[in-house]
Amino acid sequence: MAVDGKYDAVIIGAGAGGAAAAWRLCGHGLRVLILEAGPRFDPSVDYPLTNADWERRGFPTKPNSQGAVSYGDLGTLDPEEVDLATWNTVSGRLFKNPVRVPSAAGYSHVQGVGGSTLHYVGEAHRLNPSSFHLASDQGVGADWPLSFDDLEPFYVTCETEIGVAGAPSPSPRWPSHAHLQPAHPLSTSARALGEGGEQLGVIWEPNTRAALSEPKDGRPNCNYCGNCSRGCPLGDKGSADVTFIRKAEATGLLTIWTDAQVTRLIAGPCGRIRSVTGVRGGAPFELDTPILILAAGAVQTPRLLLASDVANSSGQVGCNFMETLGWTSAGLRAGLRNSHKGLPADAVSWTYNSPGSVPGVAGGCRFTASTQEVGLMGPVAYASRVVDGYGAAFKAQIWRDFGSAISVSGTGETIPDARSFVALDPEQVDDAGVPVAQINSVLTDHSLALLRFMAGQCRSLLAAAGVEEVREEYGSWDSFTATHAFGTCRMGDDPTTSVVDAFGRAHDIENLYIADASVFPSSGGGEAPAMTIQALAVRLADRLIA
Amino acid sequence: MLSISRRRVLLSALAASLSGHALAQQVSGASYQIDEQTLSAYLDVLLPADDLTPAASALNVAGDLIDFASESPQFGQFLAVGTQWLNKTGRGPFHTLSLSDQERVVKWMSKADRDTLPGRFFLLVRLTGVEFYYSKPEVARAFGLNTAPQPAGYPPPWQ
Repeated sequence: MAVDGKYDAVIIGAGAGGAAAAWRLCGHGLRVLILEAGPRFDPSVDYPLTNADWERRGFPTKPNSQGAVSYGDLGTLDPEEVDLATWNTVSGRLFKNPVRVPSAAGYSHVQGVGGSTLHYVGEAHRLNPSSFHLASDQGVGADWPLSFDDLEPFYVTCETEIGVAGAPSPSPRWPSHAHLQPAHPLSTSARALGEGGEQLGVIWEPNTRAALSEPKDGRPNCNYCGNCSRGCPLGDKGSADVTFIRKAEATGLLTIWTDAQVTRLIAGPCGRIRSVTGVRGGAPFELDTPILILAAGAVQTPRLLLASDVANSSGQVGCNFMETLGWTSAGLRAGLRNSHKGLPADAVSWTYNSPGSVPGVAGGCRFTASTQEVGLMGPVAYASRVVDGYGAAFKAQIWRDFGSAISVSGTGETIPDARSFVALDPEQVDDAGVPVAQINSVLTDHSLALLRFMAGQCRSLLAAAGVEEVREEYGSWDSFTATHAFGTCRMGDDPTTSVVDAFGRAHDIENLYIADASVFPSSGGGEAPAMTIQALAVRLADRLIA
Repeated sequence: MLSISRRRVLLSALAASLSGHALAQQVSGASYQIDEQTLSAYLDVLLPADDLTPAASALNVAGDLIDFASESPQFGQFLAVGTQWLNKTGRGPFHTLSLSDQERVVKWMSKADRDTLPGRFFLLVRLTGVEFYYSKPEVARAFGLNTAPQPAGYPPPWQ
């Protein structure tokens, strides 16, 4: 199959970055083809939230909705740090290996039209302006080759198109926020955390959320079922399929091939990518690529470049992998009711978000009210995780305690390290014969120090909120879970130390761009990356047109 | 942020419990015969009837576990070995024992080392049992919950 000359730009991946770039390019009148390795999900059919057994089901899987990955070195565990182990009151310690292992979620992503925005809870964050110059200020990691001010107008564009609700406190992060919808009401557990946080000097505020508090563009406002990560059947969550993709398709200029796996980028003369090859429905294809935008995420994007042996004169493709450093503590507060009702991640604290604000640590972190986000939403979760025992006494305790859970999570900065990288697996290949991506990710002393801080803060915040006994904790110490992954095709001004420039264009190849979190030079202090990915993608698209 | 399939977590835990362990030898050599009556009686000790909700047996939770086990031969073998072991704890099959004898056995299992068959059986059957039991619409309604989060959602205010 060959479709040459029909498209002005080809985008690989229909997630946050690919969708935003497609929308902008179509808006400029370009004909765009997205090659998406995964399927399209139908929210009204595929998401299980009207089924009685909803709590047993996570986000649905479909053929090709997960990219193949393997795991290399994830680090060893120091028994002295066992206070950071994952456990709950029902099962005890969940991981007892001497090495860190991938959790059931592992590299947690969705391959499909909308990408991982389909299962994200929809936090709409701007990166801390100070994070753009982490290396200059803190002497670790790397600076971004652009400033917050360069990106701010594109944040506004994306937030306006998606529909973001929130009432952020005045800060350099939000010089403009008049376009935001009213903030969502806080859940009972978020209110309890807010009251307790004041005693600790931790300031909470309504989180900025890509979930509508008012109808917009034919999408309804949220009805607070609390299950954003199982897929939003209403369409109020601003996942890429119901925002950028829908708007781009409305132009008539966007074509999406689902289940189209790209296997190789083919270099042509004059430092360009001539075409891409791939497989769709068992049939091979090759497509010309006047412009090629790679937006497959920080794991699959470097894999494709490495497998194609292109854009890597710096030797940095796959390097600088940064995982999601996370910690969660949860417990029950006597007398609290209805904590299962509300919007996940409804409140956030940026108190320790700026680089250097955590004593002895270069990077920052943030805290989130996470009761709904971690799934303490129904009696199955209570009975499986936070209420122990059996028999009549156990059932009575479930009756008494349901709705009283409070969970708080910390998400923190990861500093690049030579031991953390994505490579081609030396043995495993996928169905098309392409080596799968192998993730290597090791916690550094910095990560461990930040993890200890986040664990201590979460425990203190719970206690201040009236929780007498912690019932569940999990974090990055003994298991690898990466809902956000960064850094494997770093952007920078120097072609010898970075893969793409400040607009996402490959230093080595003039018609190859990258529009995903692989270009992040630093992870930020726990901010959800989707909005930054999308702002960068729109900026990239505008640069292409210019 | 996170959406973890509980089924995958359970199967991972089960696989971990069986690998490289004496338990694996016990399970791998066993015939695949789950005693459903014993499993049902055992689940009723874990999840008895109360004023608001019926016992596990009234909601066929044992049948759910057996159906679930059909997707995982390892788990099926585990249930088979576990119910066979339960049937040797008294003078007759577990389901024929008096309730007080059944409760004595389960109490002992609940305190057993989780790396032994009784301790692991207690944990995994409890986890899967409560998962199916508390997913039943009859139970959700008793909690005053919607049987599913959608289409109604949970509009504010929340107190």
